[in-house]
Amino acid sequence: MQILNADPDILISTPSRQVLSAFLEEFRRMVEPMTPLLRTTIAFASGRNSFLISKDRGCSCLHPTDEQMIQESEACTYYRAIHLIEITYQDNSIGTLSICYDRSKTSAPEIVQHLVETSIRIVALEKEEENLLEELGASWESLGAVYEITSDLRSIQNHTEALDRIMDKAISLEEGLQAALWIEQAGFLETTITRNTNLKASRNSSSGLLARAILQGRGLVINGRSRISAFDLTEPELSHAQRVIIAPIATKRSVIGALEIWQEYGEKDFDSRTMRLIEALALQLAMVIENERLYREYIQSDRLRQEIDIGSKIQQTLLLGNPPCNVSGISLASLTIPSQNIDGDFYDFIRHSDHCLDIVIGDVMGKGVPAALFGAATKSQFIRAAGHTISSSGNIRLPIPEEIVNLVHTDVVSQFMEFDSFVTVCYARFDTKLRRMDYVDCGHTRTVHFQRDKNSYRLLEGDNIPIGFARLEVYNQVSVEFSEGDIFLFYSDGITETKSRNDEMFGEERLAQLLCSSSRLSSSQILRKIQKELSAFSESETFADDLTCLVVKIPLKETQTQSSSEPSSRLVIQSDLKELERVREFARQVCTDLAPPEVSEDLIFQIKLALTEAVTNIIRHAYKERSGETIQIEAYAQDDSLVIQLSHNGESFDPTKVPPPAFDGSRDGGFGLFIIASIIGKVEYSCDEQGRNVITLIKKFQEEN
Amino acid sequence: MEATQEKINDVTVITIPGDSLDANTAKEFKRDITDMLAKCSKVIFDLSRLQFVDSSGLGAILSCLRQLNAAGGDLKLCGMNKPVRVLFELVRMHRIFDIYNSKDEAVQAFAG
Repeated sequence: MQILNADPDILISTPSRQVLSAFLEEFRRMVEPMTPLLRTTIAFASGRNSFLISKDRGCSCLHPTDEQMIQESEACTYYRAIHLIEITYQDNSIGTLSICYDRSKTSAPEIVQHLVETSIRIVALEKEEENLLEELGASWESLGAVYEITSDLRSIQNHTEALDRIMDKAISLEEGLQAALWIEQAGFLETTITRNTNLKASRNSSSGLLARAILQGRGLVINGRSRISAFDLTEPELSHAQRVIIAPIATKRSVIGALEIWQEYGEKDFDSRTMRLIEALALQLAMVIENERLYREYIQSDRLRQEIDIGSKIQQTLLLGNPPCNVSGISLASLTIPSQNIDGDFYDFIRHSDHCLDIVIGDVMGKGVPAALFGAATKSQFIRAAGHTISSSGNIRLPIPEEIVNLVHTDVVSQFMEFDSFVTVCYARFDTKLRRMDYVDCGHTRTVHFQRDKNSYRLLEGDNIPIGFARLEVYNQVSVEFSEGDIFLFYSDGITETKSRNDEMFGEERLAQLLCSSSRLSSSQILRKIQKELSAFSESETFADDLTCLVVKIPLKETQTQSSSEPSSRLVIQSDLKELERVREFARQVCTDLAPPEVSEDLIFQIKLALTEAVTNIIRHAYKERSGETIQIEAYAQDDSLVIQLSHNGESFDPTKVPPPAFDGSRDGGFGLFIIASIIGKVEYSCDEQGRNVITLIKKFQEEN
Repeated sequence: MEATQEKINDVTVITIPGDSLDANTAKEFKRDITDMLAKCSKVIFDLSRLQFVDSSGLGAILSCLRQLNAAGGDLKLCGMNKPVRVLFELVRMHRIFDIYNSKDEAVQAFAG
């Protein structure tokens, strides 16, 4: 599926043009990352103009309001359902979206509807925050920024505050007004907020004046005691009222309650002007309540989460960096096991030169999208700060870690304090020439430093508090020296706080001992070992918190490297596509040797295919079809999985930057990574001690269920 | 290895040679087949000899479909072995291509 960037400004000329283009921009930005899952064609029409927003399966002649045309279009025979969504902004229609989708993806319209509502909401909030939004670009990072800015308006505290403010406004219209906000809950109307009355009640919502206004979905005004008494009243608060206004609170879906305003004295009748003002306030209440509901739904909806894993998308695109491979004398590997929740764990790597590398790892207090977005924002502040150069006495130099941390602290402390949140961070700089690590510890978990010459470990800890606690904190760095064979382990508290069935914590000590006992393994093998131990300890494959772990190993000189004790098959091939035959023969061999016989046939084909794709990718993209290079393939069995490692000296590549394939057949290429990801449960990218890029494919011998 | 062709009424049946169509062999296949297709409109690819197809091979077959469609023709596939079928389903190409078990069924589909 592809996004066509038609410029709405060219196509549309109406008074709401600004709103429309803001909406479309927002909507595109949200729909784009989800296109591989939605697989729908979305078109938009406003007035006489129409254009495609996203496109799937070569559907080229879609007119948004003409269903007939869609059905007749041969290119669209893959679709069997069409759904139209009227887009309204503050009660004005700004256009119609049509969604053409495969009936098997029944939730597609719902998801699109949700994205539309979220986009409209963001547009409304954007208007209030216009000055802040100038910084926004067009990337995912900026989506993060939008949420960061708007999250305060959507948080519970502010939701109640907003309702309070609207209620205050309602009673300030005239002297002596009393007011109650009724919200329907499970068939009963309940007073949520009241003004100038002690009324607290829960009522059946099928009789009385309130019920009448709600059922009809229209406001009512009654002036005069006698007229009020003429109704069969079920509202005791109106027994002395001279006049009353009841305005239903209606969202797009349904009427969810009512705003009741009454007055017990005074001569002036409520007129149509008062009525309109009250109706406007009821509308505002509806928007605030609806926003709150949508926001909750947004983070809570299990169904949505299954369909589009927003959290892991944020995590993959915003929170986690890819380890660089070309820092000499350092071997890096990273591990993340996402939990059921969205966490604020983040890390990234900043390479300054071939012997100098910065690592930042952090954990934002809290969970959910706000924590993830705070993490993303903090991470980008660190990257920005690390990029600042400092000129002192005529020389331009890199900022040192404590300067970076202090800079970020100054930038973000107010925001964290305002939201009652904080972030623990460890910022470390490795210099392999000086053989020194300088780090600033801001209340993060203690880094484990394995020292090979002593064959023991120590826990590194600074004396600073997390960022966001105190404005006046000054962060200081600490230096440690390292030598060949040393290992540093950075991790989130999710690791040490993993619990066993008996409620025992995994703990620092166990983690550090594990590192010591596996110090001869490569950095990625160490991570796999840690993951295995954690699973065994907790007797579970899934964890309550995100588990994040980084291993930095200072490798020994090559002559001293220990070879892995695991038995493995190995094949070295030339960077030539003619070798693919041999690769497949190798795949057959290892499957026959290592897999249980009953699964080998299907597995052989899958491994053949995945390996062919992986090798082709390396030859084409990492080596750019240069001949004379080599690729090493090693395979071994580990527990219930087949592990295959492909090592090469070509360029590393970022799989997240590869566009998804075109399932409509419009492009020849782009299927390779998709195929690998579909077949192989787990693909890891890392680099080994000789600085080679390593792609690790881990395939379970037997699929679950 | 040359692809062999056979004419059944106005339908051209092309048997894809070799037992694998991968990144290595797809280039050659594409070069040979392009000229062949230029003279045909209703085409069936008999894939029964293929034991392995990867994404590059699939891309080559896709480009044949597009070449024929652009000239107003059509392509149908038959004789897929299981591994090939699995790949087509994996990348959902079984919904893009008309796939038949046998050559005869494919020929009939063109007639009907």
